[in-house]
Amino acid sequence: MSEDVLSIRNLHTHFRTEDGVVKSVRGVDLDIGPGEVVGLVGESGSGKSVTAHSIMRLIPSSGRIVQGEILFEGEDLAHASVRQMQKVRGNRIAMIFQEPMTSLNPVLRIGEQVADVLRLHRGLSKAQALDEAKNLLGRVGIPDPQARLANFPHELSGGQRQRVMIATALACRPKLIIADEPTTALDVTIQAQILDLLIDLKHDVGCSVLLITHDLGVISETADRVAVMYAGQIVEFAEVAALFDEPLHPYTLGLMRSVPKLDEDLPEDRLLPVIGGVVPNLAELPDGCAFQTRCPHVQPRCRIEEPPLREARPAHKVRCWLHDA
Amino acid sequence: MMHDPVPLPTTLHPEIANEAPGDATPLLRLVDVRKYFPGRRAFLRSDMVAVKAVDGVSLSVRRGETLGLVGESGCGKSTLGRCILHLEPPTAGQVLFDGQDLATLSAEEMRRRRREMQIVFQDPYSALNPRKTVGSILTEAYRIHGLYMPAERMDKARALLDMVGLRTEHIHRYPHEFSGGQRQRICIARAIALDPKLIVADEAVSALDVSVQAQVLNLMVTLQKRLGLTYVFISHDLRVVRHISDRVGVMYLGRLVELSDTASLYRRPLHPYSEALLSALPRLGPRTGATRIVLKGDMPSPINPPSGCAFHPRCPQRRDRCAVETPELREHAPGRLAACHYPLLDVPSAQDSALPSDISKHNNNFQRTGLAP
Repeated sequence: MSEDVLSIRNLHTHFRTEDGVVKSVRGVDLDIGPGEVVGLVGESGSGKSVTAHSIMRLIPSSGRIVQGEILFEGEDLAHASVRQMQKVRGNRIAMIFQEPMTSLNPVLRIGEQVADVLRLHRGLSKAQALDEAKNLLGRVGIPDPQARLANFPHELSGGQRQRVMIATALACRPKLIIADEPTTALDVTIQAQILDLLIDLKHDVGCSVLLITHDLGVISETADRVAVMYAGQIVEFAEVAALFDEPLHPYTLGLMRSVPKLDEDLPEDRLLPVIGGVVPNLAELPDGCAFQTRCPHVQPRCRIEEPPLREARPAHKVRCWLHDA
Repeated sequence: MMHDPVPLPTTLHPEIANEAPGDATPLLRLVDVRKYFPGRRAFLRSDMVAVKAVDGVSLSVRRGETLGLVGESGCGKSTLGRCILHLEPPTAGQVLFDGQDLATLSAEEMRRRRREMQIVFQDPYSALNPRKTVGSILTEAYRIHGLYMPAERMDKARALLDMVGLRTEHIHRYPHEFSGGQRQRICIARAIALDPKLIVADEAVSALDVSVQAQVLNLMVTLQKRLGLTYVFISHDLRVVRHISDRVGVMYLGRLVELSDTASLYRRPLHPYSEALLSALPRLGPRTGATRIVLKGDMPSPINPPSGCAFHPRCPQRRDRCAVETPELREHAPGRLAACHYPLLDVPSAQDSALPSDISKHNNNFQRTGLAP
């Protein structure tokens, strides 16, 4: 196995709020191999976006990485200077956000925005950059790229705007693309186009992708390996087939069962199996396992001792005492 | 005039044939409902054109059933929902509620009718007044309609909270003190306060996390049984719609392109757009390398809709006729309507052969992973 592109060790990111310190990320370990798509799935507040923003060092000023390492190409991004980060962001690590309308500058033409990245990071001249921008737009499947260079973002549809974001991300041939809910704002037929494009490009460019989403369907069709997050921790980490075939953590299983199915017979009473209760307050976490308040299999031990993330099957890790061999 | 007046259909409409035998009057009947907005072809151009947000929808909803309406952004499903409640009076066509045309009612009659039809919106954050307590929000409808004595109203509000699974002692709290799922429960409590017959749910669970979404869906199903509610459930989420709906209408560019019972639609859609929509949905479970239908391009603008069948520029099955002649919504199999010249009647289903299905062994997984209850 060749060396990992990104390796996160014991990452803790906390936020100061009126209600006390919110521990959004509590000891995340994550490795992403070359050319691999790793999915990070979880619900609101699970810490998946904060993990991604920590990698890019884009957390708001009330937050801080309090512990841990983010190793990328021999550098520890958790402790990198602002200058070092400027060289990494948009260059060796690119990010695609959920809402392309807010990530694109509304008063700049598409061509200028893509060309800016090329001039800044690759030192191309203006003419060269515009030419390369046209090639990039063509590559991400935008029809008539020459004409689109002169368009403003509002003149494009949501799907086209997300293609522009992907073109910008690819501009510097990054080693890693972080895609934070890249298709959540898009309609399902457009989502299918964008997911196909991402997979195609990954094969072409050979970069790694960290895909963050709440959608189990998107994860299962796109990722190679999946990490499931709950209350700031990874509770399960496995290859996509293994995870969907045999989810080990009660939370993962509960999540999968509460998604309405497309081809199963509907239950007679039309009721979905649900995970009871609510997500715990990240400022006042209980001792022991964070899922204990909602878990149908809770044991006395879960209320005292926090389970470690441990390999229960080969290459299949889970954070649960049920699988403590 | 933005458009020619639309003649009311004189012949028996196909939808009428779709009504269940023995069903006296459907609770809701839409006859050729249209909603046009004035729009411009381009920024700063002065010539106005009609944007046909809803362009001739006819359907009926039986008492106690859930009709799902699906489609992508801009297909007109939300506008149709607002037309049903006359929040946006339709430009043409009739909305018959309990057999009565809402357009013929006086303001006072309409106000009374409104008690019987309610709406739940997508975003519970903006649907609730942040300065009012839950108790005040829930008793507002009683105050407006002059129902019950003031002292009784709070008891009623407590009963509503209990019905939607919230704690009655939270009645003096403000909306910001609740989570998103709890807020949507408050919206549902407010919707059922006046004992309505019909609830239009416009993306009511779309903003919620999966586990919360399942809880709210279960609440809606339980309340429907308990109170005999009829739902029009508008959503872009095909999974949720399948779960909750008895029948489903698929919309594209302001028109109903397919209307069918849920099971048949998901097993074998008749309209190529419905098929593409279902096929584009990511399946749960590992990739199998099966092909899915990926439509090219975006939905066209309703300002400038394509000629003939509005779907023809993106349709994988299109033929010459589709660009010329607009297909009518017609019954192609018992209870199954589609607006397509070449419905997918005898073609083997792509869903059956090529597409992966959701994994369906989660229940068995309990045994396999030692998690059996």
